[in-house]
Amino acid sequence: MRKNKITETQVSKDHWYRFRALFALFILLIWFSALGGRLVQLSFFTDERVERYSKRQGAGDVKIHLPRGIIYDRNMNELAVSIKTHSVYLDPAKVKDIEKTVTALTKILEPSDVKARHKKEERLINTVQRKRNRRFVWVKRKIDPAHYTKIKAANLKGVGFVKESRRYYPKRDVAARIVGFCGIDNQGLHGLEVYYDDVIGPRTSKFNVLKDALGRPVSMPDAMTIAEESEPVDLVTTVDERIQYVAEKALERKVTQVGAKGGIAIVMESATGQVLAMAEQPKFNPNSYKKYKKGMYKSTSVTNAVEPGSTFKVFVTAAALEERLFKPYSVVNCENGKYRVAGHVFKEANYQRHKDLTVAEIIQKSSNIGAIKIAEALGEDRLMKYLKKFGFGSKSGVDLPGENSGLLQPVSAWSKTTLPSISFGQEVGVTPLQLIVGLNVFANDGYKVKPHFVKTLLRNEKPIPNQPVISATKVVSGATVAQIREMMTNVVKNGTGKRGAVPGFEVAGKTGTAQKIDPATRAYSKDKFLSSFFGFFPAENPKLTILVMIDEPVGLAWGGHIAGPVFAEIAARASRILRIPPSGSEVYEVDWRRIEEAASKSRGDYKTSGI
Amino acid sequence: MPVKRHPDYIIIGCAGALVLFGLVMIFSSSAVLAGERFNDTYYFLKRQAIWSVIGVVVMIVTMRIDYRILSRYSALIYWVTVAFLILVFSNSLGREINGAQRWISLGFVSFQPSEFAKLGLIIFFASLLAKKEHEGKLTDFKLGFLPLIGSLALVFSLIQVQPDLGTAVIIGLVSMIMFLVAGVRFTHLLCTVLIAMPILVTAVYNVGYRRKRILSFLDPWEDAANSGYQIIQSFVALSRGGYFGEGLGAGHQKLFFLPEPHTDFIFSIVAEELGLAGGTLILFLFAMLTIRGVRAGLKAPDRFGSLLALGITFCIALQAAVNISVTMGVVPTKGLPLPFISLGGSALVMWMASVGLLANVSEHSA
Repeated sequence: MRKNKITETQVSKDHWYRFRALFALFILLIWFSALGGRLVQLSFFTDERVERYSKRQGAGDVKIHLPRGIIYDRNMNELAVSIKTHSVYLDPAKVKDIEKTVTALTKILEPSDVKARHKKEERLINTVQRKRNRRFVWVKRKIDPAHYTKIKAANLKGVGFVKESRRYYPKRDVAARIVGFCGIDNQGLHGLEVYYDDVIGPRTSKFNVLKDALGRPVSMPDAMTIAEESEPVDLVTTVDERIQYVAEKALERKVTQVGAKGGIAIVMESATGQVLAMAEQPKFNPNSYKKYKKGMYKSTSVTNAVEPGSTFKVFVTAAALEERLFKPYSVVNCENGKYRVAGHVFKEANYQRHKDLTVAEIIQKSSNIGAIKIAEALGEDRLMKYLKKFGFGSKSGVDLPGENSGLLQPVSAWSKTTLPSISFGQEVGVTPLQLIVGLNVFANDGYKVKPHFVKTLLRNEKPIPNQPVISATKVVSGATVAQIREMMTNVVKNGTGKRGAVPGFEVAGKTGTAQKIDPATRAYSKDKFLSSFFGFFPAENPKLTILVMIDEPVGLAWGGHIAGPVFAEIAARASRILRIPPSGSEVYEVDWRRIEEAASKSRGDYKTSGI
Repeated sequence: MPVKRHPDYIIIGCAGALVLFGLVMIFSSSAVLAGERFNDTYYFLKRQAIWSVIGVVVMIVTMRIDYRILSRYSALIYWVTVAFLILVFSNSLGREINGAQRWISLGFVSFQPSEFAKLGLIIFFASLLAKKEHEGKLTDFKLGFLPLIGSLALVFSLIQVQPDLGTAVIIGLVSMIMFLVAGVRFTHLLCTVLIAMPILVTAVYNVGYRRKRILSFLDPWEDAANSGYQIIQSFVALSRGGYFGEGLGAGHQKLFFLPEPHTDFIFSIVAEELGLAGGTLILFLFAMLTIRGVRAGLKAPDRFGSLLALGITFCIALQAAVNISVTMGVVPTKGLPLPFISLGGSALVMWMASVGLLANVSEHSA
């Protein structure tokens, strides 16, 4: 107690003690104030080197793959859509037991195929061991939703997911050759997907985001920003999914039935040149395109040129009529089945012999010698001029990739037999699309229209203004058109094309049975044919123009026999879908029940075909 | 006997505000790091929250006891402190982290004795200085100064060899200020410093990372990618804040640009996210605490309480000033956390115990 008293008095008396303590306080407060000043200096009078650092780090661009636009058919049915999927990756730094993790993963991803599983395991473990310091190794891109759920449930350390958009084709193989498909990075690889790649994707948009010191984005732009930025563009195609389906089924049945190598069927809207359907056999499913051979993806209707055969006679005849060299009833000497030009003897098909035929009969009976005579009357230059006008030998400008311009040699390169050969469709290469475009001139009052597959582009579901106008060029006069229609109608009524008749309609058609060149002998083959039929209906007011080609049918190969019925089936069913009123003079009883049955049967096939 | 009054609420308020502020900033600065390292963004926040609860309990205890009892046990406290500092090096209890033996692990919990050494030494010196003063030996070199400097040297070297130079320097500085304020002769102290200087300089220059720290302090741009990296990143953080900062949680520098954003460089993150306003607030809180601490010390009823309050106050103020100075490139990097705010359980408990004692003294002020 005494001690305390003394201390108390000492404290109160000791001014020096007080002074020293306050001096220490003073120094500390000066220090704090100086730090405040330093803070102001560092905040507002920044060294430019610091500012450089500040600007350089932290911010960075991330590329975001925006989903591709939707591809619709003309009735807004989805042909190609983008769906969200997950991709799995490994972060080796976070994986505890690499072998265990990889085994668990591959067991889920490859449940049945043990060989594939082991291969994947080996590859993954190798990659991870090679890239120890990497934080990201793909396991599998765009996995099944079921696999995603399983992997997620397994809760494996170091396994992560990236959301990605993936292309999905809900109609599977229907219209696959038109729509095409995309690769793993959503880049268009075939069909409209690649032709319109610039328009519908794959677009990557750069977003400025915050990144950490390891360059990893910390935040991502939200969905709204992405959606606003991306403004997806969708394609509305000219394709009518129903007619496409009908055409594919009819074609498939015939190709299977006659054991052909393949086939093509194109349906075009006569007045506009819009392609309603373009069926090709054999088919493939774009959702699993890797399962098919690489060569199968091309739209052969535009990429491959063929010798068309007798269908070509129509164009030669039209040229001669337009030049007023003949009238439909002008008589032509058909040399009784044998006609020698420059040492080569030309014959009729099937060893037929004709003496005198009118021009109309030449088309009706498909006389080769008659066609030669007509072409001879035209001469090389005029024939060439008209073929070019019909669009042969040059690209049509269709909106599909890899279009072939066909093969039309310049006149200077022609031999003595070129002109007669061309008159019935040999020594000339045309794409099926060129052929139907040429034919459509007669269905469209003498005007040639550029064929196209895309009707409109939509941005935010509204049509984009200022879309190019499809122009038409006059090729032949209305008089010629009327004469050709009459002759082609006669082909179906009384000539080689009877099997192309469509109940209830007057059909204008023409058959073709082209000998194929045997690649081994480089000569025309005796048993390999390209059977075709093309035409339009109703003949007096054409609505649809259709081309059917069957490649190498086994056995009987006449275009009328093989391709004609396919034409008739597609035409009959399309007319019902589009409600084209029957107009022919004869009213046929249409057996719709039979057609329905066939349709439901084939629909069943379609369902079981799977992805 | 002086009348027992209420404690200085400003002291408690400042400390409480700093602790709460610290919890917020620890979460903001460590969430990304914790998520990356422990898959739990709250990892550090949870731990610090638990420690602060323990801290509050300890603070209440240190506030309630009669601080004069400590004077009686000061010698014991000193030797226990020394014992713990030696135990750090034992194989069974000591734990080495980042190449430094600073931890004692008791299985369920581990702590840094050097943190408690600060408070232990302040209590010890407050008691010893008061005793020498009373005995009139304070100005005597042999009987006054030598025992003081000798006991400081022992603790200083034990912490120095852990190595934890930052804490050692703080302890040294605080002790010397206490000596001076208490009335130890300035010449005695000056001589000691002059003798110790060459030893200290060699100590610094013989250890690679310390030399680097000094050199990078002198010019961080010399080796901007390595030794200058941390301080440059701190500059970047401080430059980004402006008046009110980028917003709480919105800072960039904690995204692995600035190392130790939740411990030694937490002030930079405060300045980045809350700007000049946030930085000034912290400086103000520490200044306020210092003023009120010195006031409590000068109003204390006895010399021991006075020196205890002053020692605690100087310790808090010095460490805060040094830490903030480091983030601003004013002094070389030390590895010292910011009192109350930086992550660290033993440190937080020690600071809160100290503040409890400070409040305790203020309660008895005349």
